[in-house]
Amino acid sequence: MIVAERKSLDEILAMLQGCSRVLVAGCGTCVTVCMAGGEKEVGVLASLLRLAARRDGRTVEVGEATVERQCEWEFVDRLAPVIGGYDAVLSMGCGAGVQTIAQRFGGARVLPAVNTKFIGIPEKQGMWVEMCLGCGDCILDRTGGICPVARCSKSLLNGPCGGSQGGKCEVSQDITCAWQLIYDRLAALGRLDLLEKEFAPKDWSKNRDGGPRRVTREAIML
Amino acid sequence: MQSSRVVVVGAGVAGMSTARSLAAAGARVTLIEARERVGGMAADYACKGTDRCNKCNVCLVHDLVRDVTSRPAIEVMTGCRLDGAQALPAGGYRLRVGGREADCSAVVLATGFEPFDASGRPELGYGVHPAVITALDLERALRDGGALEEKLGRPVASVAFVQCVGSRDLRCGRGYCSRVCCMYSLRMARAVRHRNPSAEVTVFYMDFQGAGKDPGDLRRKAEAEDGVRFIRARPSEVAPVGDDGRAMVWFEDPDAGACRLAAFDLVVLAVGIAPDRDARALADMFGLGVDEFGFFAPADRADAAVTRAPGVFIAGACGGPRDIAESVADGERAALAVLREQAARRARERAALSLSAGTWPGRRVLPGKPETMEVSSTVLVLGGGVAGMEAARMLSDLGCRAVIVEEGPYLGGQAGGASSLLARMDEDASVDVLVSSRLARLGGQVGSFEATCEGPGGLVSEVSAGAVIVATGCRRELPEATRELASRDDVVGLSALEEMGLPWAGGEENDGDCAGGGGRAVIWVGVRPDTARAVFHQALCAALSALAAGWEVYVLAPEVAVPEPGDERLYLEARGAGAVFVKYREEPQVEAGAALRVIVMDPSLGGGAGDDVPGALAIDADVLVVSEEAYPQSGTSHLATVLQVNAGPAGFFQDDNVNFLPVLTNRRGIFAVGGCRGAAALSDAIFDAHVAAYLAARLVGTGRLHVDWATARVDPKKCALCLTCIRTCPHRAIDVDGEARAAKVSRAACWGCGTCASECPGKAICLESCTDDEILAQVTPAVTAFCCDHSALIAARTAMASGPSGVAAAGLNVIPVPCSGKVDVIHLLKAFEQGAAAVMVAGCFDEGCHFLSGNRRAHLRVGEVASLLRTVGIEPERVRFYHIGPDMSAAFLKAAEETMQVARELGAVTGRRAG
Ligand SMILES: Cc1cc2nc3c(=O)[nH]c(=O)nc-3n(C[C@H](O)[C@H](O)[C@H](O)COP(=O)(O)OP(=O)(O)OC[C@H]3O[C@@H](n4cnc5c(N)ncnc54)[C@H](O)[C@@H]3O)c2cc1C
Ligand code: SF4
Ligand code: SF4
Ligand code: SF4
Ligand code: SF4
Ligand code: SF4
Repeated sequence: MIVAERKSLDEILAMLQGCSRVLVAGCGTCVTVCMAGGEKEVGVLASLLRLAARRDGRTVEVGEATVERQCEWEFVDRLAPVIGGYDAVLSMGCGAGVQTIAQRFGGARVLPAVNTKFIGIPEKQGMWVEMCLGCGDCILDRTGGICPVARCSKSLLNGPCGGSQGGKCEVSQDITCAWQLIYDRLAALGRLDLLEKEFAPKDWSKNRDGGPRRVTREAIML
Repeated sequence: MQSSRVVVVGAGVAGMSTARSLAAAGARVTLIEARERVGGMAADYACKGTDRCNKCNVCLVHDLVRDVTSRPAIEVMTGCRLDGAQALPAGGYRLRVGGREADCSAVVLATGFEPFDASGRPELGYGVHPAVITALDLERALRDGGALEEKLGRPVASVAFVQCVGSRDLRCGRGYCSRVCCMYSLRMARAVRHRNPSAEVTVFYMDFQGAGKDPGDLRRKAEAEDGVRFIRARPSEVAPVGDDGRAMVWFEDPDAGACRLAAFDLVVLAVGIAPDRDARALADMFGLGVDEFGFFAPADRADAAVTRAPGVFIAGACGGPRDIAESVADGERAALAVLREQAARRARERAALSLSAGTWPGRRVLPGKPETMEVSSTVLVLGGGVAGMEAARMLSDLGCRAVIVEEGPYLGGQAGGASSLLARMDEDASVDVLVSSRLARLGGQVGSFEATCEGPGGLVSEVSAGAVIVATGCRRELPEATRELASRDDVVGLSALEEMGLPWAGGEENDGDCAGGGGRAVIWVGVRPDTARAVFHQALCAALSALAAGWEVYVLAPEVAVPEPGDERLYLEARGAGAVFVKYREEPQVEAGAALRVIVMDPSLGGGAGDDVPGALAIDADVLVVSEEAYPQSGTSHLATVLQVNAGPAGFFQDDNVNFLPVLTNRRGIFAVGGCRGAAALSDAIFDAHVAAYLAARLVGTGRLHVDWATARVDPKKCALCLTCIRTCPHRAIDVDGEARAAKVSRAACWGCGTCASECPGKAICLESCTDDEILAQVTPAVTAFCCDHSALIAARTAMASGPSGVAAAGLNVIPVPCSGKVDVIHLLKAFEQGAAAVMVAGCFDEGCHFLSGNRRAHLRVGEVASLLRTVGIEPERVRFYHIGPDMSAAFLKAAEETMQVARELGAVTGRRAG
């Protein structure tokens, strides 16, 4: 899933300068699951905005609306009846959600309330870690199911580097060296032979190099 | 026609528990109480919670009072005594109660005890020196919080507890241990220190009798954190000295071996449990037996609720010393005994009970029609030792089918099991046995568990069961220090003694080189305090049998544990017969050469005055008997994962939380009995088994479960399947519903705390008894206190009723919640939005939460709200969390006052940076 994190309130308040009617829009999918922008977080942020206004002696009208997925036209359509009454829409969806709303409602000022961080998993309740960079050319078959592109701090394809110490990455003791993990995993699988073949330089044209990417499937298209 | 009403006499914890349990099983009950209020002795006690729950059990009383006074099936008559009883020819009794006559089918006597009258030990100065009070006086002074000095009218900078007052004392005819006073003193000592952090507390004691799941931990904390001094001495006299009004305690200093004097501001006499003065008359009224001390005697010790008079049962401290938790459990046992007898008497079908799921701490009834669900009345029993077999037998009696899953090749476990019980397992068509099998997986929820058991040769059997009783016992092993001696012929484990043949039984065959024709035996009981009471009886029996064979006997133990009935007498007997008891502080050393030599420092052989090295005793032993320590079975943590139940201290099953005693786990329908939940004597394990069987039968025995309580519900359309609720529910009541692709609460398994609803990021969960809308409708601009139903709310109500200075007058808005875990971040923020200048959340103590962890979640959320407020420039101290026990109205007032003070000082959250 996509993992996001709410922006600091100061940043959000700065974005909202001059807005007295704000719609906080949540998304019921990824950001609900990663607890950054579901209905509950919408309620919390809306409350905080009202409290900030109360503190400053301003008045502000804050609306709350959460749709199933902000990255679908049909779902964001549901905002249509209410959106007109607001100076700004504060989207708690990921970057895709913010843009979907912005694109759908040309006249609305749509602002991001969260920072979209990565594709990842909850390592445990309350802690999420990055797992995939969406590089467009997956190599997990050769790395024991552990992604060096996302999880090696340097995205090395032929790691580890000299900074791998006691299984930890030199960038931070909180990071487990992805190449250590890959080695251990392949050793356990009896497939260390996979490491004998060097990785060719990665073909980044499948990633951002070719501009914004697109996936099409003719058969499904209407 | 005979009345089916059951009369319970005495509304202490035991009587209330009996009545509640009977009512839950469909009986009509009259509860008679001599005093003007229900609650018994314990209703006067104080919560001894400090920073955390100290497991005193006092709050159980509040739940019971609320339950018995709110159930229509229970008629409560206060201010009434039982004046007479006449047996009816068809069974049952005609009772005379306060001039009225009433027929009933059975009578449960739960008339409790009297605290020992301390003036019976005049040398201790009670009633003469104002510095001398009883533990009961201190309970009352601790109640409601507030300054102890004020309440007692004297300084409390130094406090002494004198243990065993009116117990273990032949001079006042009480040759028994009162079982509860060591623990209550320990907890009171902590509570005193908590109120007066500079107070110095000393405990004069004979032996420490641990009880509960982890008494050793409590004692260590008292010593290490509170600096409580334990002095092993029985003070001979308390006298007033000087004009400072302090009391001087005379005692024999074990370290100096001399008489010493110490002065204290306060001397607390730990009075013991004595039979009620009317017990004899009641016994005569019904023709009951009493024991030598005057407590009601059961017909058979193995079934302690049943008396020799038909239709008359006993529960609680009227049958001998019991603490609150034991008295509550005793009530369940008495209810079970009543229902069994009635079912038998009426020669009805088995399963004659009309059952409902009964009750648990924190239940809120949902008005309206209960939902009825079909459930399996089979109960899975894990472990085929004595406890498992007893559970199966009782289940069968109650009309359930039992499936025993035993890992070993045959039933019997450690104790082997009586042949009649084994035969019963064999013959009983309602008992199935899977040997050499283990539980591999457990799916589903109470009422409809799906168990996968793996048997010999990979045989897999699927069992559908309504409930599970875990009776997997414990592992008994010699303590670390003696393990390498285990292979020696002259070293025997205490529990293996009978089996191996008593070493002293042969007489001459043992070539002992000692006087008296016999040899010399050392019996070493060096186990944890929670294990001690389970093994000491065996140790005393071993000592006596060795003495009888003419052997010399030394018993080495840090404490002599004699709280079990009759054990004090055995102890005195053994001492009288010449056994030497050494209460050591440092572990004895064993020199194991060709012969055995045990070296132990005996503090009582302190040499002369000035000699500060305790005397070393070197004992050349022919036999060393070592008591085994109890450890969790090696598979316990795996089984805990399979069952999704929590483990507690030392890794045994069951949380260390008083609300779950004796046999509840965090999951409804899964019970832990006997050794798997901590070291247990055989009789305790059987007691557990019976209570669990009864509770399981009450839950699923009729094949139908009526869910009449409020639960959480998930709106599948809003659920994002984030799994948060599934991971957070303390009772594991939520699963993924594959069809709906959403989380689903099992209504049967949910305890109704609301924790899940306040964690759900999608706001997809609603707690029926306390919805978010209902909460938000109560939010006002006033200073607000969210109060847990089970603790702070009770304290708040007392505080508000206590006069015009009460918090209600000051405009505090109290919002009740079933558990502080129901209080959501949003609720708190909304209160501020509405204009509240400060908000508090008050819940139970840590480890005292009725829903295990709701209060911890709430505490964390309050922390989160504080930092959220900070981000918008609002003072974080405006939101506060408090732990408040149910009787702590003064603590509640203080918390409320503090919160309102914050509100006054900081003023409203508004326009201060106006611009
Ligand atoms: C000083 C002290 C402190 C203690 N502290 C703790 C503690 O912290 N934790 C703990 O677990 N245990 C504690 N205990 C033990 C605890 O008090 C008992 O376990 C508990 O009260 C036993 O409950 P019960 O219902 O059996 O008896 P009781 O509480 O004595 O209740 C019996 C009831 O029966 C009524 N009654 C008696 N005769 C009649 C009659 N003929 N007709 C009608 N009604 C009658 C009485 O009025 C009373 O209300 C303490 C004991 C003492 C002495
Ligand atoms: S290799 Fe690329 S696609 Fe595969 S996990 Fe790593 S970043 Fe994602
Ligand atoms: S919370 Fe209950 S058990 Fe814990 S100390 Fe208070 S009264 Fe005793
Ligand atoms: S030894 Fe027994 S009687 Fe003495 S204080 Fe402890 S529990 Fe009470
Ligand atoms: S917490 Fe809410 S969103 Fe997450 S699984 Fe449970 S009900 Fe669904
Ligand atoms: S968290 Fe509480 S309310 Fe929610 S399902 Fe579990 S027991 Fe029920």
